[in-house]
Amino acid sequence: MTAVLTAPDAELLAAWTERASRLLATESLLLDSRRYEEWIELFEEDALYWIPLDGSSTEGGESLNIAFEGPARLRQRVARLRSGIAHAQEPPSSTVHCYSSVLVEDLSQETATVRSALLVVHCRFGEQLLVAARCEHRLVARDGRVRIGRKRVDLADVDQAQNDLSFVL
Amino acid sequence: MTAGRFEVERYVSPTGIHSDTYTDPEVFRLEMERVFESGWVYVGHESEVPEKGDYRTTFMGRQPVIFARGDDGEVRLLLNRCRHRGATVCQDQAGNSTFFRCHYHGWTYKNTGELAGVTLPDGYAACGFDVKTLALVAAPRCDRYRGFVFGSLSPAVEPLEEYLGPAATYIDRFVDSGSGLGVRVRRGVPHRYRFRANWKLQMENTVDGYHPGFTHRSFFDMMADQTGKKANPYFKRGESPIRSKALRNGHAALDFGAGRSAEEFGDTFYERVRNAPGAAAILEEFESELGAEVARKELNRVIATGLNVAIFPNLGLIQSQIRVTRPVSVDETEVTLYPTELIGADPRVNYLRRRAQEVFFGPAGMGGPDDVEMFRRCQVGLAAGAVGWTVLARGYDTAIEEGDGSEGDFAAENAQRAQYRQWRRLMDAGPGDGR
Repeated sequence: MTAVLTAPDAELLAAWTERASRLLATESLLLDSRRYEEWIELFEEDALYWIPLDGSSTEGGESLNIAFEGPARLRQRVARLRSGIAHAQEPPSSTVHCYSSVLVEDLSQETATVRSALLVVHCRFGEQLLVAARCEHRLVARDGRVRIGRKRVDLADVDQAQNDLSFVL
Repeated sequence: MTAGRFEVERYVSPTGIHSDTYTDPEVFRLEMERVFESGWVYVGHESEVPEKGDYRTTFMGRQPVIFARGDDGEVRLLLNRCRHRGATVCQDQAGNSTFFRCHYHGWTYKNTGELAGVTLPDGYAACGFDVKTLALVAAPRCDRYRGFVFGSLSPAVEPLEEYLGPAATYIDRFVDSGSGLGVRVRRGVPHRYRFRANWKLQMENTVDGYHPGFTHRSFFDMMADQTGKKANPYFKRGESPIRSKALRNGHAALDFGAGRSAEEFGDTFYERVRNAPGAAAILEEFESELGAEVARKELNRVIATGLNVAIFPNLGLIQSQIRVTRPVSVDETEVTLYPTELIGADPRVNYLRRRAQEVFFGPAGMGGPDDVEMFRRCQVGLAAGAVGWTVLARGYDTAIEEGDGSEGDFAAENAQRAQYRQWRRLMDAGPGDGR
């Protein structure tokens, strides 16, 4: 990171920094306004939405997870949240997703990894509950669009008892 | 509550529970003494501490405990409290250690509990105090059944097998359900959630066949959309072969019938896991290896048991998970769901077992959080103490309720009534229960 960037690298970094910033802000807006269907459109068709229990896991299948889902399951999750009888989210929580400390790494023309700190404020019955996490997005740029190949959310207190997380982080 | 005898009949009737039972902190205090810190409680599974020195910290009631396998190979339940000034001697949730050391004044214990060393021991000479006798206190009773380790802080409890009684056969079915080689708890962080409601709401719910068709309708609707078939094994009265079994000593089960799979009830674990990453490919592999029909039948059998078992007061066996309920205060509860895997099974089967747990259970599952929301609503609603009693009467029939066991339809509340009969027995123990 301290190395002097050559001009093409600097251009690539600037491009990905801009893309990452737009993507995280878009995600935050869509989730907080509960535009879940549009949010799912941000994902690649073989993408993964992943909240691991085992922080050392690299692909998730060999451990138990809090959430381990592709777009098909995410669409089911969202449809259920829309059903009016997903009681833990009835009425739906009001959320604010805050991404910060954004680092854009592992750059190529088509892919990048975005590491960030995520704070979700989750308002329910007059209380503001916090979910604190480190987040990693694997982004893919193709056909003039940037999509999420993988979103991984590592909860800061993953080894402790959690409140409801049946909405989307 | 008045001083003297705890008047159990003010809290539990044959067909209802008084709201104070869920809301009165004094009732909670007494429950901790008479149920959780005198009777048998589930502590952990032997497979969580397979090696000498392995430990996991937990609680028996309010009391912090180290579930530890000593260097002598024995499993013990050591109270996590230095004999000197009371600090905990083990800080981690799980690990492996030869010693437990109190870092306050440096007293050190072996992993068998024995006191290995006291710092500045010369200062105890004059008071005639033999500090060497101060081992970590072990729960006076620790016994196991098929790997499930239970403990009691009272030496006076009946033998474990007697306590479990006929419920032991349900533990057998859970253990023997898959590969025939048994189950083990997979190492790693389990699902864990908390809620602001009384622990007994989770206890009741673990064997409640009445609620899924309502509380979990969104999940069954989701599965119906996915498969194109109506998938609700609970909803139609009289059509469900599930039976609600009340067993001796407050244990209970929802029984899908030995050897039967969930498939015939329109809800299949095979379909529940299909949309998880990697799962569809595994299902196709099994279908091509075994043929579609055999693959489906076998997978439904081994992905999860068709059982909900509640061992009073804190153990549940549901599908492939071990559920442990920890009361924290009268309106705060923590629940841990340990995934089990089948020993010796095809790794793909254990992969699917984890996916089946994730889709429904845990903090982000599409079923469990709705139960938790109902517990919250109950706790808020039960504050309407002016209403007094709940109704726990479905399927009540004096002729079958008396005696050691009863059987009702899938939505009978005989299971919960049995839990409260045991609660009454223990809470009625009276002051001075030998501890």
